[in-house]
Amino acid sequence: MLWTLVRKEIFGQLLNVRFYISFALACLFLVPATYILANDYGWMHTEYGPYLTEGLYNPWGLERFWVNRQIPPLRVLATGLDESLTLRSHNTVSDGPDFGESQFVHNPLSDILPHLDFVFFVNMVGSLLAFAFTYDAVSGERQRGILRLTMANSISRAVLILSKFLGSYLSFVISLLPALIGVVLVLSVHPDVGFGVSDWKATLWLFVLALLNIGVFVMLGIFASCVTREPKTTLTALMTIWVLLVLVVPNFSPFLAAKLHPIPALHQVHERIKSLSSSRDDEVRKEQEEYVKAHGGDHGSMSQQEKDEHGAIWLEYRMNLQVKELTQVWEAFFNEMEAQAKLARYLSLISPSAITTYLASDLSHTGIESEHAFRFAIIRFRREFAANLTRYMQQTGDKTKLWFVDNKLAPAFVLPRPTISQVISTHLPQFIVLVLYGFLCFCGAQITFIRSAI
Amino acid sequence: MRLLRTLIQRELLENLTSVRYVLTSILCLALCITSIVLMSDDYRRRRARYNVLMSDMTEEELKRSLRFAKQPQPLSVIARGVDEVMGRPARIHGWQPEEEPIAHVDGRSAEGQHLFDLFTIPDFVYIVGLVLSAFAIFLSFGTICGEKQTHTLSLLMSHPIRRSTLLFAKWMGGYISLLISLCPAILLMLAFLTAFSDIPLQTAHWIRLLGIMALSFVYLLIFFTLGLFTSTVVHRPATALILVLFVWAVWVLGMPRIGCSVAKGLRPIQPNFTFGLQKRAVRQGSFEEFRELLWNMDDEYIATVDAQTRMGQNLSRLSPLASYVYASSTLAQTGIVDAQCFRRQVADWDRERRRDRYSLLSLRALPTAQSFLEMTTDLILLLSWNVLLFAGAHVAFLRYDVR
Repeated sequence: MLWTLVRKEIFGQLLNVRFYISFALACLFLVPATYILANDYGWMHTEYGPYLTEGLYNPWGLERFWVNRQIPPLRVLATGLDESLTLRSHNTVSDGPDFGESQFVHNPLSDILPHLDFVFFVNMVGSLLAFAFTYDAVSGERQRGILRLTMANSISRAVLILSKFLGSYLSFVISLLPALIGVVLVLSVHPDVGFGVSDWKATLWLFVLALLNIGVFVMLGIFASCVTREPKTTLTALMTIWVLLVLVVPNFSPFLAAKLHPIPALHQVHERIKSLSSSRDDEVRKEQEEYVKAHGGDHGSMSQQEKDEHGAIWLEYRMNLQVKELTQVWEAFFNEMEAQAKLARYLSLISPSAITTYLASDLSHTGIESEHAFRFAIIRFRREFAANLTRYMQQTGDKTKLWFVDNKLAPAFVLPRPTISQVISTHLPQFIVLVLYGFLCFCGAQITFIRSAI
Repeated sequence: MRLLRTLIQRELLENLTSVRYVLTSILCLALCITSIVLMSDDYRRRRARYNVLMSDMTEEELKRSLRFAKQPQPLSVIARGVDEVMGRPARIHGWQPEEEPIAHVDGRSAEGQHLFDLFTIPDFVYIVGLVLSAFAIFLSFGTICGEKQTHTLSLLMSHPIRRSTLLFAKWMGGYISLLISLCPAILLMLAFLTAFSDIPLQTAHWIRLLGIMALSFVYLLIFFTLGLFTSTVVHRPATALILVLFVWAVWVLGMPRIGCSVAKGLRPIQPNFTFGLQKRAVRQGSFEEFRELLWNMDDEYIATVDAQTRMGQNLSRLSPLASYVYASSTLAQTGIVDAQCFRRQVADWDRERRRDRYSLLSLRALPTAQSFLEMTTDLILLLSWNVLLFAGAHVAFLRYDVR
């Protein structure tokens, strides 16, 4: 009986205009958006070339060097932080690391209207379509008198609701299927996107996440349809819910988190750093002055080796200060940022869309978690690098490596990249919350439908 | 005329007593107030950053303006646009002409911003652009076909009423009731701006604010008229809703973003960084000899960036949302044209300084009249959409079977 009802529901949806609209929207948005992002990914590789090869990049053998990470391949599906995601960190031995790269001359359009990606489609359009598929599932049939006719047969109410859910959900998924196949085709055929096994696995999980998110909204639609008596009222309720869950909660939660858990402003961090270094700076400057006095009293008339040694006093001090005290200040700041982000995550748990955005960006390594992981990896790298350099200078007495960076002294840069199963297990509670939402809506729909008059 | 007034009154009364309008009013109120409170906090944070940057500079830096930032604009609480990005502290190095064009944005200037980059900024323009536009279509999609379904349309048309009069009355009545439901929210938001936030607003700001509000009303009218148009094309409210949601999704969610991305693909630009390396390769001889050549390269590069921006803007203008965002951010002095003007002023000042014609860097904002002039194209586009959609609704309703 269940499958007969599901089949009936699917056929009903297939003959409805919303099925074709869903199909058209998915094809219109998903495939071109993925293609555009794949091109963008390829363009970034071509333009940056070696400057985005993972690890240390020291092109001129001088004091400046970059520590890079790969462009996350799944950026083509979930742009996440997009251009704010740090791909290269600028450093010198005595200064840095600098994260993030804002260009003074750039196209400001991307700051106003960011990319359209798979996650955006699922969150915005997918949820809206899910409601369009379900708003009249029960209230519409009740209004037209079909529900009464259906219930005249020996069908339990629980089975009917389940069939409504399955029918609407499956038909919605069928309408998206060609577009999803198109996306997979773009990803596998596009010359710039070389997905590995782990990337395909992550893509699969992204699809699962999308289906889960859509499932929650389909269930919510059916629940609202059970609660209300007329499709018009169902629509009013669903539109309000949609606005709140998709447009309001995710976008307001970071600002609310910033208000509830304020982090020190950047200038306060700078002040702290300044106060930490200024007292020590004077001591080192005195040491430098004494060095000049001990070597004739005039910096200009010193030999090159003496000048180097004089400069090395400052650079060595800065390097040690940087990797010890100053880095601790930054670490504390990053931890505060992380705590604020965590609060924003908790606040946005009420919205399935927000959960999906966070999860998708973490699965794709383009989100806040990935940004923090890169930062802490750089800090570890800098500490090891400073330790190696100090050891080398103690052993050889050669201090020129403070301004001519020697790649051999640099440790291997290790950016922890959690496997998909690790990401899933870490974020299991969020997945569970999504499932729970669906389940609660299902229970709500069942209870309401059992108590309601046909 | 009396008949028209009666029809409008009837429409108003019917709308204002419906649950939908009450719900819209409450939501508007809650959203606008929350938005203005949060955006004011954000503005205060950015202003504090700017003040510290200015007070932190050494006398030499201040005199030579080697470090600078764009002052946060008070109206960014309404339309943030590119204000945060352009307000990041930047620095002009001595060797700047050989590297990335004009200036270098401090590497750490965006610290603490990531959380806000994952989602769209919920300013007033966002609320109107996405949330209220959705509500506008939602309020109007059943205007004609809904009455047909309840059989009140045929009853109404049995009186000596011209179809155009009825349509106009429905359009006007519905739109006025939408505005009435918005008014408390807007008034409270403005009251908060004047009384509780310490945002310095001058007369010019109020004129600009008035302009943004007017633009918002024109923008919302488009979606209200779109709903009306759809309801004159189909005969069932459910079909009308599905159709109008489809158009809304394409128009508001898809088109602006795809337009910008397509422009990026069609007119790609080099990143600043690799462009800087290209300039290094060109350099020969003394810096002074090649300075002008490097500046010419910069100008060409900036022209390419601007061409991409223009193309993206033009493509995305197929959507009224893009026109609305561009126009309102221009009025709020946080728009693309303000960013370009700021960039140009810094570049010109730096070049003059290097040619030994010293002066203090004083950044001039676009005058109010010019801002209004800059957004004329977008305003005309918004008005045209209104006219087109209403004309469409009119023609469709003339041919509509009311039985």
